[in-house]
Amino acid sequence: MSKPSHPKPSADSDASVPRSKPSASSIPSSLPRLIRNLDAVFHPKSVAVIGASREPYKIGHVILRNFLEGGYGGKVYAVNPHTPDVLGMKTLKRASDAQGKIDCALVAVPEKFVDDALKDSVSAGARAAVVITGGFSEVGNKAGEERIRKIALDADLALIGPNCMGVLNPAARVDSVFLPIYKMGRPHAGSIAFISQSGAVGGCIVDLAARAGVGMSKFVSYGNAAVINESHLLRYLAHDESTQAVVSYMEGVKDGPSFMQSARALTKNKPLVILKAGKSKQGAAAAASHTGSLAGSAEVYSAAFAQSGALEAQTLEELFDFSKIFALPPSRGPRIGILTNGGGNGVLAADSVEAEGMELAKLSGESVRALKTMLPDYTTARNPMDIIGDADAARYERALQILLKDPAVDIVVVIVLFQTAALDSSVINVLVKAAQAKSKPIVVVSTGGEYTELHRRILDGYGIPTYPSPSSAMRAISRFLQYENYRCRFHASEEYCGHCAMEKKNRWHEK
Amino acid sequence: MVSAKNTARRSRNKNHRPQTGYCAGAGGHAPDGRVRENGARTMDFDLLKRYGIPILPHAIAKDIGSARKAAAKIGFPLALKLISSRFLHKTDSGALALNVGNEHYLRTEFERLMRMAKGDKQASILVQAYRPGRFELIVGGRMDPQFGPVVLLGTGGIYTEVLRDISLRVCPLDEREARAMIRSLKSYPILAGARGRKPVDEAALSRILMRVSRLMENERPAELDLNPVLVRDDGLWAADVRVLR
Repeated sequence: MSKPSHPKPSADSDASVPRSKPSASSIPSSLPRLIRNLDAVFHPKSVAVIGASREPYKIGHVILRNFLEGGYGGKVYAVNPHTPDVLGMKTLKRASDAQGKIDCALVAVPEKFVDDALKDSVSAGARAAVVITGGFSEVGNKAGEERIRKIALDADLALIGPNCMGVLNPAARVDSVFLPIYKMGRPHAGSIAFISQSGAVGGCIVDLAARAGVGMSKFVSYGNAAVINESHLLRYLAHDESTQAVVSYMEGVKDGPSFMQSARALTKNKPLVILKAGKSKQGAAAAASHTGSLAGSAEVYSAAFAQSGALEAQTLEELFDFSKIFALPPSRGPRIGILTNGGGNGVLAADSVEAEGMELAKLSGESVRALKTMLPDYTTARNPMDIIGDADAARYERALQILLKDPAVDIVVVIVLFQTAALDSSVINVLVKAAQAKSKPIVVVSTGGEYTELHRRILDGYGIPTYPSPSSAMRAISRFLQYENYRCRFHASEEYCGHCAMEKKNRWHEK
Repeated sequence: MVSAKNTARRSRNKNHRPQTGYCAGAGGHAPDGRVRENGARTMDFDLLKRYGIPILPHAIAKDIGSARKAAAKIGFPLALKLISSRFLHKTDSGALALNVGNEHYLRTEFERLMRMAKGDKQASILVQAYRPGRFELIVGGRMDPQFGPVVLLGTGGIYTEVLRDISLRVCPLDEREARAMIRSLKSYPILAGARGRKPVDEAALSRILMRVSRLMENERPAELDLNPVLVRDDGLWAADVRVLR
């Protein structure tokens, strides 16, 4: 990952690039074969780039380069009947000419050749295909899409697309995203899976995640969803051990009831955050009754999401903000303790706590006494705990310990204004050490320019959710609590809940 | 259509003199008491009865004799609503009389409404108990093209669409979801008895919601409106229904 790309890669493995090893699947055999075959999308033993090209600006070139240079450990084939070699690799005329089996076909040929490419891949043993090619139902070519759908379903071929941007699995170095690496960053391996109907929106979020240091377990741009749709992906991800949270951008679902069923199964164990676009009210205008005009498509989507335990984001920023928050350990309650080196930011944060319907913790007497001995005379000990502008990393550490020990505080929000003269970068060590102890959820808020953003990225990279404003942090925390509440509902009758690790009598969740 | 009626109901008449107002799109009725309005829209009280949804006592009368019989059974005060195909497509031209307090006004209002429908041999009058509620809700349903039948609960009455204080669920609905729907309304504090009022019977309301859910799943009408559903000390009552097939 850390090595720079090589100008002349070859198919014979480049010893200097670390290669991934095929990883074992965690998908149970009880799932339909079509869904199990998604393993070949995310963990292919071999891939064939069909439509591999010498032209650097062509999709078939970018994808082949990703696999050759990105550290992918499986066998790579390049297929192009018109070119003898691409990127120093001998090409095959067709996928079925390959010596061994082809596990996953990456299809980037023009629309009229896709049928043959898929049939040929199936005969070469493919279990999955990612069809980048567009020109299907999105432009009215329903017949073409139905044809590839039939080819795939007859063979249980897990087909992603068509008209999609590709798939990422950073841990297995699988990268069929056709945006060049020098233009769009790739996130490191993490625990968030992101599925996007739109390739464009998907690419933006992935790029942001890479920049912010947020890790991803999987990324799928699923395009027209001719075969594999959002419901299949949710069912797969529910069992995927590397995925702890799922984030989704969609404009609509293929099949409402099956989506709700898959989402419900997922959200019993993993959070699901959805940004649903296309919420115009046009559909409702034609309704003949009050109910018809009040219960438009957008409202029904929101209801279906809520009933499935999914959290809805209203903007791209929220989608990104909410996805990070689930790295937190379980909370023992909704009471927020705020630590800050800037008074005004603390007040803003306290306002946001109330605006989001959460509770500002009332510090215990012991905490107040400890604070009084620790802080200079010119400060007051209360929540928000203002350790003022001359606080250094050591004062942050002592104050943080007080909040973490206080039984009246459930979640700690640390506001760090990196702009002060007294504070240096070592406060990052303090925060990381405290967060990694996982005794309570810790969220960091830092508002500022380049210097601040740099520190925020480092914290994000350590899996500490950080936010640029108190309001965005509190909104994300309220969604985190909402989901904690939802999930533990399934354990309401149990004496001990494995999720929140709490005895029944100690639980705060709404009954 | 409901709005005009409710406006009339709000200006309460103390001396039992009936108020007149406009009732939208009344039309011919089938012999089973299902009243057909514009095309596929019906005022199907029997459908509600079959699903055990409480509706204000009512009857359909074609002449003053049966209207008086109905009045004796239901009791005063009454609301009269004209049902005539002559007003089929004119949503503002139907007519009704509210708070009809005695036999005298029953006769004069009945005759006035029938005169309006002159020439329509199918014309009849819906005779309904007039029982204002202390709060008005809307309960409805719709077939969503993506998710199938959905149930809606909201603040009813004339400002339903302005306030958009609604709660929505995809069917089927269990009691937990039904209760959550009630509690998620912005007006819930009012329902729960703000300012010393008697709280709404949440169990009865969630029963109605669950029954509407079952109705939506079995009958699958395109749209269904129970508006208003009256919150009263003697229970919850649907006062009007529209079913769109």
